[in-house]
Amino acid sequence: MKSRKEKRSLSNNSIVILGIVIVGILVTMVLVLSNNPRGISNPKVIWPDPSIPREETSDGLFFLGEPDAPLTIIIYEDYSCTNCKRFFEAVEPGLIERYISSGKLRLEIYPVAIVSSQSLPGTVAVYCAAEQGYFWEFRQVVFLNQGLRAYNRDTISLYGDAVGLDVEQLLDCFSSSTYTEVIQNRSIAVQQFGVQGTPTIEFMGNWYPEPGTTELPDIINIVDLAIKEIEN
Amino acid sequence: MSDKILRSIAFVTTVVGLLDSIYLSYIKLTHTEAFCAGIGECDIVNTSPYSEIAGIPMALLGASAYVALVILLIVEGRRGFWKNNSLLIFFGMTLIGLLYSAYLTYIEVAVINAICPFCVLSAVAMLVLFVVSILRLRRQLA
Repeated sequence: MKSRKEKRSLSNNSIVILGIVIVGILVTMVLVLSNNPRGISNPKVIWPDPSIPREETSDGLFFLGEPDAPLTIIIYEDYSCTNCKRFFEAVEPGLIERYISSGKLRLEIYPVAIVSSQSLPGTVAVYCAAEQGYFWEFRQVVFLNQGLRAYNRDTISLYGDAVGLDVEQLLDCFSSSTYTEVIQNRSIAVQQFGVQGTPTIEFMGNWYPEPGTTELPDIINIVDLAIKEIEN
Repeated sequence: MSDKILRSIAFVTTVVGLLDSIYLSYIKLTHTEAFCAGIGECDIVNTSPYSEIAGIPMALLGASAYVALVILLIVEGRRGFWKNNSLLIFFGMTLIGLLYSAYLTYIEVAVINAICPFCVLSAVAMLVLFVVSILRLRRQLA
């Protein structure tokens, strides 16, 4: 039979453990609440500058910049690729400011789905938004919110609403297989060309798939050199 | 199972969790692509807004927690405060780690639809550590 002292000690230990469990649950709740990212990020200023010419070809390629720009840079991008988001945020604005807005360079976006299971729905959604003429705006929202939610109907509906699309039309397109096969075939084709990861850059017939060459100063060097060659 | 074996299991598991968190912190801080070996989508998870708390990478917080757990396992043999309380603190920390890992696994599966095997490994390590801490605590209080 347990002595009174042992019983008291057991009771004290139970209280301590119960206290630890309660504190543990409270701390976890605080952590969960602190880890709740804000909703869809959609800055009011729609990027890029609407005064820069945009064009979409009939076969689904997207251009930004003057059609008669002497140089074109092609970006193969995937909407579940985190380095593509970095490129979009850190490199693209610099290219626009330095070359595209002055008509020296034209940006061509070639969406592919090669990175993850989220690549195909992400790319399909972007093509569906492009159908309504909102490729650049929707692409912006997709990149800014990358990793926040899976690319499913709920997410696409939220993104479409944030951009101001006809959400019903967007979801009909997203659920249909209108673009699935085109994107899959195109993604297989570019991989056979040599696009093994994203973002891959194609410029003046050269490919720059290494991450080191996708930093802004490196690209500035390459483009500056090409501009000098053209001017000479 | 003796306490010595349980402590060894805890030590090895904590070191595995620590190495795992250090690797995740490295790929997060250096923007390196994770080596997922085709069995998951580490980068989506590790760059998701859910992978940070107030700008601090979760992986770094995890690594700090594992360091604290290793220290607790080392100092528990000392006399005084640490001898009496190390196991209780260990239990509390692994409880928080387990609950939070469960939340993050839910986010991976149900919200962002991407699984990071390294994050799952950390969650499993926390589960093992929590179970071991309960077994050791029961033994100590018996």
